[in-house]
Amino acid sequence: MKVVKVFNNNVVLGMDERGCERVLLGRGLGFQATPGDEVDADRIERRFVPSSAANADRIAAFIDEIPLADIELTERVVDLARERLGANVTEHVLVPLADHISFALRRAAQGAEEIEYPLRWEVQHLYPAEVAVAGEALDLIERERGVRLATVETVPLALHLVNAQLGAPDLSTTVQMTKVLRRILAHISGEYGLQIDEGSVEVARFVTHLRYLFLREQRGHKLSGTADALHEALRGARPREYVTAGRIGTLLGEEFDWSITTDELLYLALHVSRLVDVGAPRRDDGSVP
Amino acid sequence: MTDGAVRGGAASTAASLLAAVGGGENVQALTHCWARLRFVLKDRAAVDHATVTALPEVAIAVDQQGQYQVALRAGLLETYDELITLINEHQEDHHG
Repeated sequence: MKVVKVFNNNVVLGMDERGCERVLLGRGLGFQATPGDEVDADRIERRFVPSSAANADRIAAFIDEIPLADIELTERVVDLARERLGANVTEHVLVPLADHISFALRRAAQGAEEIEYPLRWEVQHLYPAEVAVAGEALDLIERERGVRLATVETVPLALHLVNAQLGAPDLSTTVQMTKVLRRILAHISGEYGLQIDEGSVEVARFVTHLRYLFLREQRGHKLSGTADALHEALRGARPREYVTAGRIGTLLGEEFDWSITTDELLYLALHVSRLVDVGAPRRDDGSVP
Repeated sequence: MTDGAVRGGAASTAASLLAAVGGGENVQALTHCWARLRFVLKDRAAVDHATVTALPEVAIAVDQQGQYQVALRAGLLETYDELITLINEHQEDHHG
């Protein structure tokens, strides 16, 4: 590991043998160090991974100002999230999440008013697994710090965890995805006059499918190779749902500038069919008692 | 509260907030996270911190990580959109 940049006596930017940059924290790491020097590995206490959302400069400023105890607390929250949600909760989440938690603790200490977070309903209904982990995180924070953060704080925590799994560059992409998920469900509800039960297994599966679709598109993976006969069979059996899937594809294409493959449409049509099969008619359209 | 009411409230919050941080000309960059608007300002001294924190929509405002960060009690995304519109209008007026 070589020194690339010295931020201060305790924080340097290092580059390892594979050319990966890491912001390194350790007492005296930067003292009298100059770029090109070998990093004193024994002094490294913590490594942080820069990303487009939190670049090296921002991380350096961040570890200079955020109490180390808050970073350690967040590491435990991230460990908990990995245990519950899987290893796809990437380490990139550490800095933005620690930033959020530290700020939440600061707000609580100063008695600042509760925040009415955007997309509260959507986060609670579309990401129940992340909200549950966020609830456990509040318990963890309370045990460690003796501070019970407001329940509404599960919303941003859950959203950071969703973001971490999407590998999205920043929260705005996750915000956009969340809004689109909601629009898609509303569209299906309106089109078929259905009462969509967000707590149902079918909706959970559909949302999970859409999240993976999102992940595929982010990484440029295109689904292809499904037999034509399958397309024909589903189009024949569920023509209306096939059309709905096409509309969803168009919506995603317009919103994110993606070209949705016909294979993706096939899966969407299957999910829509499932939602239609299990959905109860909407009570507000007067068609059912 | 209707969407229209949120939008209208956000527009007035955005205008008051922008004036209190030194106006559009003082904003070098603006981003947001889930709780905060994050201003990168040309001149931090141009901020009227007391006025910012006295705004009813502001929960707390702090200097951190080279940013002036403002947490709103509600309407963060709407206020952010309004701020971006105001800042863009300002920059078009002066450089367009």
